[in-house]
Amino acid sequence: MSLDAETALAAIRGAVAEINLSLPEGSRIPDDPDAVLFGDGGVVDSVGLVNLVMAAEAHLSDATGLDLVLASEAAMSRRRSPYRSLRALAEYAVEMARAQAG
Amino acid sequence: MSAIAFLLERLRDAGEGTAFIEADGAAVGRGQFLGRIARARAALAAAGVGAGDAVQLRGDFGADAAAWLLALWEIGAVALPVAPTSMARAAEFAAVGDVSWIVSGPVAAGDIAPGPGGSAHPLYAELRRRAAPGLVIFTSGTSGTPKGAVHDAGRLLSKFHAPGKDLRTLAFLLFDHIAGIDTLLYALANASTLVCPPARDPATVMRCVAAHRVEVLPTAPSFLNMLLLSGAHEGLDLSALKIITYGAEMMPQPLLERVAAAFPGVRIVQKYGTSELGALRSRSAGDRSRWLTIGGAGTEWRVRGGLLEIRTPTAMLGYLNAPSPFTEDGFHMTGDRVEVSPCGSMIRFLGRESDIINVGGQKVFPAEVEAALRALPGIADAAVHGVPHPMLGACVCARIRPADPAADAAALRVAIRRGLAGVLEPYKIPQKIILVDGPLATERFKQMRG
Repeated sequence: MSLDAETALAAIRGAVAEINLSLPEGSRIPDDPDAVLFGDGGVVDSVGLVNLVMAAEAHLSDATGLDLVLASEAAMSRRRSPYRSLRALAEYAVEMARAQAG
Repeated sequence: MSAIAFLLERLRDAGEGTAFIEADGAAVGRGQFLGRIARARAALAAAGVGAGDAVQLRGDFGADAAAWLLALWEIGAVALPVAPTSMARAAEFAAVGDVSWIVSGPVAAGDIAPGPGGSAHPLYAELRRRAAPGLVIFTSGTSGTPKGAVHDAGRLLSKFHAPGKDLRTLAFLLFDHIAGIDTLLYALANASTLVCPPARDPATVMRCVAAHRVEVLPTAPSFLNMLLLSGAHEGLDLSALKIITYGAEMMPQPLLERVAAAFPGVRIVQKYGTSELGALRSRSAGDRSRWLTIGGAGTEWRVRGGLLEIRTPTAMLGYLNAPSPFTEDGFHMTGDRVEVSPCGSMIRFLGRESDIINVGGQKVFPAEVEAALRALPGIADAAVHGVPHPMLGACVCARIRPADPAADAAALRVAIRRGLAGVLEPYKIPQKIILVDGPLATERFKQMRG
């Protein structure tokens, strides 16, 4: 099954909503796909990022049946981090799905 | 002569200069720092704190906590440091540590209060017999109960008698960890400036490194990974940085390569130490090598059954509240699985033997997480293990047998996140949850974790 950007972003937003349920108000992850996620001015710390990435993998799997790996040496070595925003993460998921299909 | 006399002499002989850059950016000169140690010693004497007394020291890196620590050692007391990250457990540590006193805050405030104990532990008696000051470092036990490792501080300090290099160092590691204390003592013994960061996230740490021209940055692998991911090192003047050290957890080879590439010209050095042994002298085979030589005066190592064992004069006397982890001939069974180089002189770490999960340098005990999971409604049983994760080294994976076999996976995930928020620290909450319908324990009632 292929994955389009809209579906990927919706699944990742679903993961954000799930994680936010257990976070106190004030430290919740914004739903804005372009907000800085990790890095300078980012909203999540390292454990928060791992939580989000793994929840995103689970939601993408629920939505599409694909087992995508969003945390890898290759992803972390990129010049432009796939973890800088929700949109960047969704774009990375689409790219991974394409690579898996191809 | 007190065990810290040589430290005080070095500080005096070094003349004027900065001993600490505090978390708020204020500089504390060596003269000021020596004055603060004298004031702390006077305050302890006035309160009645004496040689052999166990004293909990609540504080973080900075001139005040360091002055309290040295003053405690100067009078021959036993210091039990507690850093802000462990403050929630300070009362538990005070009880296990049998402390007679609790010291906290700035030296000028002189906050010295009676503790819950009486310093009567036999290991404290042994320190009194030796007329030696002490240090207790809490390490987590396999059941999750903290174990207090009692050290002869005089022996730990003896390692610093030989002069080292004067390098401006960032106090990244924690004040109540053995590696943090090692950083502090090395800096003091060589009259170096210790830069204390206000927070330990990559951006704050790198801003401190740049602003204060830090030369040595002691870290852990997961911090380096997060640093490279965040890009917090880019666009800053880090030209003063000479050495990055790492320890505490497994260093993946690809990460080591990326760190070396991101910091050309900076030496990347692996360190090894444990709460039980102290920080050992060690040498990496190269910036991109995980092969390590460990040694130092009187230190011997051997590998039995693939596990590292070490005998060293700086080893602890024993635990306050756990059986001895030493072999009959005095080697500490570290629980670290290693391989030995063909030449037989170097080792490389492969991981921990026990099932402790190391999430970015923080220890997670499966039993504790399993207990919290089982206390949640809708969960019949749980088994927790670590799975390798490229970001933090490992993450926590829980296999759950729901009470209702038809339970919805997504709904249960949400219920677990909600149920554990505020019960466990965030890094202990399982990041991966797998539902199973079979039993999770063997017939001998051992959890099937792997």
